[in-house]
Amino acid sequence: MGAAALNLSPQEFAAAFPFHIVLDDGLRVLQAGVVLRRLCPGLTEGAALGDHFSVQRPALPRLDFDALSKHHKSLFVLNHRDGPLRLRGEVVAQGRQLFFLGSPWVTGMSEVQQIGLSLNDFAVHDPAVTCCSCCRRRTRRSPTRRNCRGDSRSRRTT
Amino acid sequence: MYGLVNQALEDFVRRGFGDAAWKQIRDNAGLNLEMFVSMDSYPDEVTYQLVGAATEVLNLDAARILEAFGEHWVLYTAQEGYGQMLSMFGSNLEEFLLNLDNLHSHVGLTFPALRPPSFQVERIAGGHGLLLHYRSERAGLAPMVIGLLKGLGRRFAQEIDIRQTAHRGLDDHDVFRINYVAAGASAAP
Repeated sequence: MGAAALNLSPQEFAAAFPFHIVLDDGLRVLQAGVVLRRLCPGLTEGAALGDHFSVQRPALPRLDFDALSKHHKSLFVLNHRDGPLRLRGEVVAQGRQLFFLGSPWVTGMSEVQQIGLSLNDFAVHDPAVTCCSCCRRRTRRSPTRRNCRGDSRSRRTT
Repeated sequence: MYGLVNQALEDFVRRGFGDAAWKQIRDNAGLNLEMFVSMDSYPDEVTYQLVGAATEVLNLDAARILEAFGEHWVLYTAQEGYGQMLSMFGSNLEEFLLNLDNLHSHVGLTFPALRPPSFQVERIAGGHGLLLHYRSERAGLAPMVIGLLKGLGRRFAQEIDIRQTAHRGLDDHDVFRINYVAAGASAAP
């Protein structure tokens, strides 16, 4: 089977990627996911990506279209300049437009709340929600884990 | 640095130079702990002090130690349960190097105290080889990267020739030119 011929409608795309960003070749926002816009109200049409996010990974010589479009196989980590939000995803080039497809990197429910999100804000396919329930299970087991850690710590400091 | 790095350094010294040498290095570095916990974060100074002490005890310069340690790092992580992960990120040297930056990004997200280095591959037109751009918050570890590349060459049975073509400090960052030695043996996709 070759390339997929069937596509999502704009509404379906928006639901599947509630944290997406579409940029023009000057890295100005053309469109952003509805949940992301709620978290970053400044991310309106025409806003400069660099004013709102810094790119933690990959290392870029400068933040421009050419640098980003070279990294179509890279895992991107974007840090919001005004808060704890960290996005994890990839950049897809379509002509002179770039699509950032990704979602917040969270490791626990408290982090989800701290960012100002609820689990409903994530797309159903997003593994972040599953990851959070794993973390919750781990927290509930934490007394034993802490004991284990305590043991190893005391052993190595003797 | 994560404890895993210091553990690997300990393993490297013990295997190559014996337990007594490690004990001496540890004492000279002023380190008063018996063992490292692999997933705990330690100040970078611990590693730098251990390497510094090793130069005296082993009578080798830091670059040679770091290079040999880099080579050992590939073996050590594979044997410490990261072998499957290493295999997942590439079935030949070039594929692995192309994924090396993402590997560090993934690990960096999982272990937040880690400040992982960045590795970017630049292809050389028509050449049997590539350029590897290495950027790190830590200074002085370029020799370790050379060892790491040698270790990876061994792991993927790809003979390579490595030359550093740019140096952090003089240039913006370190760059290594990697040439595949055996003609046609390059498993480039």
